[in-house]
Amino acid sequence: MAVNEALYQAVASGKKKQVQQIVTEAVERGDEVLPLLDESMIPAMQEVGDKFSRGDAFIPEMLIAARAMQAGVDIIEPLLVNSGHKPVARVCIGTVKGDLHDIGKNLVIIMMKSAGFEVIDLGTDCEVEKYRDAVINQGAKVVLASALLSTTMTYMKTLVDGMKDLPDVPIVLGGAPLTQEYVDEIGAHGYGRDASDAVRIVKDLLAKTA
Amino acid sequence: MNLHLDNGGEMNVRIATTRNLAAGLRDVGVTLNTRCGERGACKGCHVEIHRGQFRKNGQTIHVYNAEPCLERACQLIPVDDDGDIRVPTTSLLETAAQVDDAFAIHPFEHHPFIRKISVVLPLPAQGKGISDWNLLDNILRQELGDGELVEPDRELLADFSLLLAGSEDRRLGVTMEVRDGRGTILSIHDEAEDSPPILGLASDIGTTTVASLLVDLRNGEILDRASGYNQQISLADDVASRIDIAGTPEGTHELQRLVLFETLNKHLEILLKRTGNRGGNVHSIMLSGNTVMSHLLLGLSPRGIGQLPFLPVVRHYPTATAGVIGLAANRRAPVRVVPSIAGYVGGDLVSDIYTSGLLGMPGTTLLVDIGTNGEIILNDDGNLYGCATAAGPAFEGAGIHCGMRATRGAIEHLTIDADGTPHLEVIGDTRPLGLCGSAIVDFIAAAHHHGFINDMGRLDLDAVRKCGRYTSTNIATKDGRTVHAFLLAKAGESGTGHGIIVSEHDIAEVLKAKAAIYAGMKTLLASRGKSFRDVSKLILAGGFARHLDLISAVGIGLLPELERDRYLIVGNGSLAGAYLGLTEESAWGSFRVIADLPECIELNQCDEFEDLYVEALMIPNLEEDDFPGNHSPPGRKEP
Repeated sequence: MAVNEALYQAVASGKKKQVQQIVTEAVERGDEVLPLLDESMIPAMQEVGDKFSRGDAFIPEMLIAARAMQAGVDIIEPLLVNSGHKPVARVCIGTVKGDLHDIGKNLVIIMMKSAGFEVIDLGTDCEVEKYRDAVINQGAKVVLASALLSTTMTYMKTLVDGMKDLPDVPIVLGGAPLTQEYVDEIGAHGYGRDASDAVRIVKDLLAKTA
Repeated sequence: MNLHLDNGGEMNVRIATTRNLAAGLRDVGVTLNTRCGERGACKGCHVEIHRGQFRKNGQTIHVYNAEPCLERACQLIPVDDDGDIRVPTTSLLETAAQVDDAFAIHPFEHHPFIRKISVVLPLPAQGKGISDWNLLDNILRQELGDGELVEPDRELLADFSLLLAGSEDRRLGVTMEVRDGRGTILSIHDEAEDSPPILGLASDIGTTTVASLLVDLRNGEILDRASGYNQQISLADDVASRIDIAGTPEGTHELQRLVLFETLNKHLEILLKRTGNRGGNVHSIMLSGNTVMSHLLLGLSPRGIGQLPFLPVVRHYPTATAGVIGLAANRRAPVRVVPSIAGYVGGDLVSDIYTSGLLGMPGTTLLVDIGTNGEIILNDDGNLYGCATAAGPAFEGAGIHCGMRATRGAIEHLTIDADGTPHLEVIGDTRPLGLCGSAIVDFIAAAHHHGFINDMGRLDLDAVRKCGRYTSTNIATKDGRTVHAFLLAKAGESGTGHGIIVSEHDIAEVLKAKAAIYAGMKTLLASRGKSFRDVSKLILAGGFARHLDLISAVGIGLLPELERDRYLIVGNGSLAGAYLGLTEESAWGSFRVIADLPECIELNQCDEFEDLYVEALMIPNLEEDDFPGNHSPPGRKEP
């Protein structure tokens, strides 16, 4: 199956209702859904991500496209369970304790999914235990954590310290107040400057541990 | 290190090599505009390096006998104390900020609760249990209608005794605050000597700026006004950073010192000097601000507001006295801080609610204070709901390539012709130095209207090139990507020697800010099953709203499309509240009631907020039904 041009454009331009319509129709026709994701939606989202990395698109455009993508993923994901679809890896992500901001985190989720990852969304206000549970009991191979406030960022050190006995699981951090220096200082493994960057860092870290 | 200033001044100073250059310069009294909080995200602290060695992002840069280079001082750490630096005037933090201290209030009856009573103390024959104080106490109680008089402290009695010792006819003037029939003596003076005025200070304590009024409490007259930056800004720009600093006793103490001594006492000094008064004449002080500022005024650490569940230490603040906290007024003058509603919805909103008359409005009414944090109050048939939404500092010009605050040289408004020619309105009628928030809103609305910007906030490069307005710039990101931009004023037309531009990155910043405000209002309404169609009055508070062009604001989707007469602009409601708190006896009690009314919701916990936010990122909105274009004047909206 070739690229579904209409679906590709709908995701890239953030047309949520069109995405829902095209995907729903395909499902109702009994089309295979995986190619819709792999060959149309994911490349579209990756194009937006690439444009963002080049400075040719900005957060609003990313969020609008991500929302359209999410609408399609919401329909397709439940159907993938029995389709033999193999994700690249399973990761978990959550906003740290004390912080409720999740728009940035949700953008990272959609970018990770667009890169073929399976993502466990831990939500917001997450204590160390929640991340540990995702690793120990749900098989997450990478921990991603975000914070939007300089007042909550400090919890990331608590997170890193609390994961010390799981050295094989890389911790990747992101959020507006963070810097590479801070991430290095508290001993985390990676810093995602933005949503696209986070995906690249996770891939690099997994390649190293593989 | 040699410093060269634009006014011809030269300084040789020792600069720390342990901290960044902006911090080092601040130590020697040269305060740069570090409006992004020393993150390297703006050009506020640009300095010209003529000679010297600095560390920057882990690398060393040397400038010797080469072309001078412009660098952000906050990103440089001096390697040694040797060098030549030019500090442009545009990079200095102005001490005279342009502050919006205008407000509109309903006519009110002046009920002063501070009054002066003239007494002549009798000299009775000796009797059982009589003292001078008993005599005064009896007279004052009668004045109060058998009310209660607060016991005098030692200092008051000392003043009293010395006045009597020097008085021939025992004629005294007593200045008393009377609330709920209870009197507190603030000062006593010799009536034969003088009759000092009774003054009050009302201040709006903003995170960025502070505005003060000196008020004659006898008649409510505003004698003079003063305003300027909240000097806490020299430590950190935004509220979250201030909360961080206040995590230690030293930090809290320093922030309190900066706002009381370096900001409010400076205002008092100016106001008293200009009106020929003494600090002792100031008998009452009323302060209104957000919850973090209110805490810091009283030396309370606002640390708990920084993270879930965003708890303030208290919401109803104890009344301090000027002497105890160190304000340069009559030391017994009560210092009141308007109570807060919640961690992120402060006393400034209580003032806004009170002065705008929101409580008495029927049906569904909305009040929004547009600032770095947009606070929103919904009055749904007498029940109040509130929320705060993180708009970020874009409307104040921060994080914007050519952004600046609304001071002299800032483009305040602009229009763009269909052929792309801009017309700029500059504060102070000088050459433009940059744009303030209201002008960026105008730009996006006008450029979108003429098709130079698409619904996603991206420039139509062909159209922009065709009219000769295309340029590009390296934005202040860590990797220095190049972004497209619209040229508003060429280098030769500006006051900076550089072009004034708006980049796609700037547009994106404003879209994020306006989406937060719009989605915040819509989410709060939706939480009560309401929509903008139900809103009979939308009250805009805060200085920014007074500068804002409503048509542009609706054009970019910051504000909903409502008939013009449904909008009410009240200006600096926080200052108005502080003023009414001083002059109207019933105001303080109302503040206390209002602060307990709103039920606050956390937007990030509302399922629909994220969706509404993303929809509001487009110009004007992804949800076209919200902006049918019925209420825009002809010619401003495409058919």
